[in-house]
Amino acid sequence: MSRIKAINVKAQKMAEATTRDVRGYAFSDCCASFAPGWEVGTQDDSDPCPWKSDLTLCWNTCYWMGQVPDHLSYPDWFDECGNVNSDWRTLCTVPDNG
Amino acid sequence: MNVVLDEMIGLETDGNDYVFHVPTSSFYEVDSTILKAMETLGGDQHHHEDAVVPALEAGMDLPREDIEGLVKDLVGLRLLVPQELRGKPAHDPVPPGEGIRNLVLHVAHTCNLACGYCYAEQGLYKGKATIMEPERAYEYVDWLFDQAEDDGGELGLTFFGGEPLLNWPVVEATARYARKKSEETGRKIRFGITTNGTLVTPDIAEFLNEIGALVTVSIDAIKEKNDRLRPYNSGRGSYDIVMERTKPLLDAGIAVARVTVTKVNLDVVHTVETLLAAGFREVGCSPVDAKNEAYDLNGADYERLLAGFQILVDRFVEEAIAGRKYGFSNIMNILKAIHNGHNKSYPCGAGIQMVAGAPNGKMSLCHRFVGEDDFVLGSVQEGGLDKKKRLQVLDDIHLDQRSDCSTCWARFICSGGCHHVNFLFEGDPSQTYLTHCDWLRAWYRTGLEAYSRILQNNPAFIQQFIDPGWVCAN
Repeated sequence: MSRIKAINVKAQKMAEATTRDVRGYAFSDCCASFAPGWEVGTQDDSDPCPWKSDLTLCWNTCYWMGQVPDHLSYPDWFDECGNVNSDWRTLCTVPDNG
Repeated sequence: MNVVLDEMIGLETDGNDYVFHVPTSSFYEVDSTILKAMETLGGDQHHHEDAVVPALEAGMDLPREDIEGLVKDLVGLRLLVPQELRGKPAHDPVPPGEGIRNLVLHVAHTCNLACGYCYAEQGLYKGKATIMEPERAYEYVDWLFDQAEDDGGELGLTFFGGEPLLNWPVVEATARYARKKSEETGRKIRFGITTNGTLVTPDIAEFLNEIGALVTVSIDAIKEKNDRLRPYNSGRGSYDIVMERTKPLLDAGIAVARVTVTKVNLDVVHTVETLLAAGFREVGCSPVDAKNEAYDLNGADYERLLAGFQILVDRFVEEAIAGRKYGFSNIMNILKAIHNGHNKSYPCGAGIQMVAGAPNGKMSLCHRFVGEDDFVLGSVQEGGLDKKKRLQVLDDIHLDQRSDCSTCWARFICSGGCHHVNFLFEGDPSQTYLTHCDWLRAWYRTGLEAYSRILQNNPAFIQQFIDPGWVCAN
């Protein structure tokens, strides 16, 4: 980042963040509302989340695991749940591997 | 997804270019490539995310790989954002903390001076002359210690008035009481006092030094001009007596001066220089807001004030580059704010971390609101703060309520300005008093320039005087 140099404490904190500021991107959508959906929005203002309220699709496609486990780490998460509306209790709790 | 450059202001100092990011108060030095990229993308022009790199490729003479890296940097620093996030703060709303840490204790609602611009009406605060009883002061101290979370942070107790030294026995006894309480509980407390300086004695100075108090002496100018602004009730001037009686405080190095700037005393350079030479550790200037044409500054006055501030800032920067601190408080305060990237929804800690306690036991939003019933947040005899009332007042004065501020680049720094000034001029603390705005933006820009000049020439100064824990990345 030689072309742009962080010179105060706040700028240095921004520069130290390795990726996009997830919190900053997330507060306008699913993170705050607990509605599954992609927090940034892909289709301008008209429909920020095409899979809103569809947990299966959200789980399969959303890269951000704040609301649902990510598909790659937990491929079996949905296996026992035939119908989200009636069988949601079968969704397991994601183990804390940290 | 459409993206857009976030809100920024640019400035150039000594041939170097900088941008200040409004929503985060981050400050960056940038090269000409970044400036060109920003110019190509346009201030508030929206672009589809896939169109950003091609647009820059067309407008700049750079390989695609470099342009992709540049865009990645802008996105990573939140300078290029989804359009719906432009101008949105990255900070969380300031949670109204459960506990108050700083208490301003109005030990005397009376004063021996008769300053014409005084918002407290010579210390009476819309009431009768009264002093605080010691039992009431102890109640306040008990309350302060009881309700503040014990997270290792310091508590603060400021003795205020009117003129607090008119009730010196209570100041002394309360400070001793609070110190004992501090020893018993293991919680640190620091003391402050704001005085007109006319009643200081060597014994008082010795005690204040012993308890480590920071003493703020109100003094507005040198000799005649000060005497015109700060006379005794009899009309006699106060300058000579203040300078004589505060000498022990100056010798101990525990006094700072606070200058209220009015139409009468706009020559701040002379005032600051003279008071610093007399031994005040720092001197700070604050424009008056009296709602009185004889005192309040107008546009031309603000320009003159700013010109004076610029001379003092230049002196400060010159000294800073030489590794010395020049005691002009205003620039010190703003450099600290810029360095840390202050970014907030409230202009001050009133009602959040600080309240004022009146002699009758009522606690107000801050010292200036004492005497205003609508801003009483509770009572020390009746269970402390009224939680519901406090939250309601804090909601009302949140930055989000200020539509006038929504497009101003300085909104997360100023946060709408002093609640009391807004209340005084607009009748409502949530309505921003716009007269200050141009002046404040110009002053903040001066601060950014000073910060960049110091950092460019002597970053060790920032480390030594602004932020001892900071390691310069340059």
